[in-house]
Amino acid sequence: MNLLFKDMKEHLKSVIIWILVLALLIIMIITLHPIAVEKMDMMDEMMEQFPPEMIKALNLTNLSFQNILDYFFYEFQFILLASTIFAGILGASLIGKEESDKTIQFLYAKPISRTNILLTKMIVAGILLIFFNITLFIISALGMTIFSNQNIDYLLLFNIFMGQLLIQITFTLIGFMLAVLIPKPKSAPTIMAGITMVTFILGIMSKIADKVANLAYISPIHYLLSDDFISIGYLKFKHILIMVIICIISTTVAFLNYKKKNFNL
Amino acid sequence: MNHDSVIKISNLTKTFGKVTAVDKINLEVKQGDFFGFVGPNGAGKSTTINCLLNFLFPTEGDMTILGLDCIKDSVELKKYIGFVPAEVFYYENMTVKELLNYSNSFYNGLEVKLIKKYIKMFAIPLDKKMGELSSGNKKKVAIIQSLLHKPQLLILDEPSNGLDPLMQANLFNVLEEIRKDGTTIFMSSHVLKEVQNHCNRVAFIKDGKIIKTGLINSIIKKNMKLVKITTNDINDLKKNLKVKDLENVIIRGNTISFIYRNTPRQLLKELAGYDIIDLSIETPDLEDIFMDFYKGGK
Repeated sequence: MNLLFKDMKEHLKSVIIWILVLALLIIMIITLHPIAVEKMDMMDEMMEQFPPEMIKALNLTNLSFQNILDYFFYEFQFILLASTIFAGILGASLIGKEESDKTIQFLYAKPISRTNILLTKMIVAGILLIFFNITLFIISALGMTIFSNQNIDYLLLFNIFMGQLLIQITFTLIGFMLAVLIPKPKSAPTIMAGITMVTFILGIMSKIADKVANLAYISPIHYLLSDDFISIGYLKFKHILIMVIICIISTTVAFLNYKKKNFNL
Repeated sequence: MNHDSVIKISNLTKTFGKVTAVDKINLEVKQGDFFGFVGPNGAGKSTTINCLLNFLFPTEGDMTILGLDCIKDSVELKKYIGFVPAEVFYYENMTVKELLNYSNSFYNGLEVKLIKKYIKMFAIPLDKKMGELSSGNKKKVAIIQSLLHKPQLLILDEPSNGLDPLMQANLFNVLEEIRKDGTTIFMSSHVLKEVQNHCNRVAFIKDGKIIKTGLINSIIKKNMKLVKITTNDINDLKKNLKVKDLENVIIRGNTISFIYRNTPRQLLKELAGYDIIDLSIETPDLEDIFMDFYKGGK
């Protein structure tokens, strides 16, 4: 429990900063909705000029900006990208920082097992990510209630954030695995940010060119940003399954390797 | 727990790629020992300690502490040991007080009196952040946190590094005190005077191999004299002294110094007839023996 509280305290500050920045962005997005609606006609004209692949790539199919949730979902992709980068960094630094800051020489001289250290840090990540998404969901729901007179589908909004949570957990666990596997864990957070960006870009490419449509599977972010999420209302089973498998593999690899790792002191 | 052998290292080898940091070492530290682990930088002292604490996994060999396996029983045995690292890297954003509380939270049944005593003795600023402390003060915090749970074995890696003379004295007073109470101490050090003054047993390590181990008293008194002679017949003298008895011969001007492995009586016999200006025959201290081991390679 002592490690859990210490890590929660240590990382809460950065979580709150991310929440504040994203909350501000969310409120901005919501308050700009009336302007977006006004410009809609112009947008429609503009979009007619766009090739259909481009519209797909920009995540604009099946969406009407008249509906605030559709509009929010379109803008949400940037929030999702930032949140996923944050989650990968969180996972990588939770485990990598003890080694790169060499504080592991303090922690692991105490009666605590390597399994316990890793498990506690995963629980910390889980708690922080749940807190992150619940807070942003409440802020979004409140924002829409206050600034819009439309009927809001709160369940759909909640599902968007739960989808984000699952994607974040996937990237956090990949971050854990990476920080355990690489000899210099200091670079793990940067590499995680890079991996997130690259998979996101590959996801966009999969939408532009049919030839590489299967690349969409590489980008969990696009599981949520799929054309029909708004109409279905939740993540597709196959996508959830892929993420669960990634989570299981990352967790297993992280535990097995952490148990026999030589700490770089 | 009562084990005659507190640390037992058998055939420990640790390699990093092609580099062998520790090469088949055997070492035994007994209950109540103040054990000095001596060697130059890069000799393998810290690697050995890091294997004992399971920061590193040995390439080969077995290690036990208090009869417990250093890998399998790592969690259990760490309840009974305290560790002071050579260079202290603790949580920079924690205050000293927070760090000590955090350290204490891993153990049961600490004595508040003891905590207060050590805090006063080492004069550490409780409300300062670890990141703001000098390396000496960081070391003091590391020493205190290693002592509070009354460990049965204390492992110290270069403990006096960064400490001022007063704090070094305090440290060794505390170490002598806890040793009387039954704590076994395993200390790596460069400072040979402190090893000589406090340790009862010592092991010398060089290039990953233990080259000498035993009781300090028997190592120092082993028929060895440090001799310094000033004479006008220096070349004659050098030629005529029995080479097999001499080690570490250094000549400066008309002064020759060497380690002599025979009786003083024999030496005086050999010196008869020379024009000796000055002569000193001393029992060498650990530093001389250290130089002898590492330069001479014996």
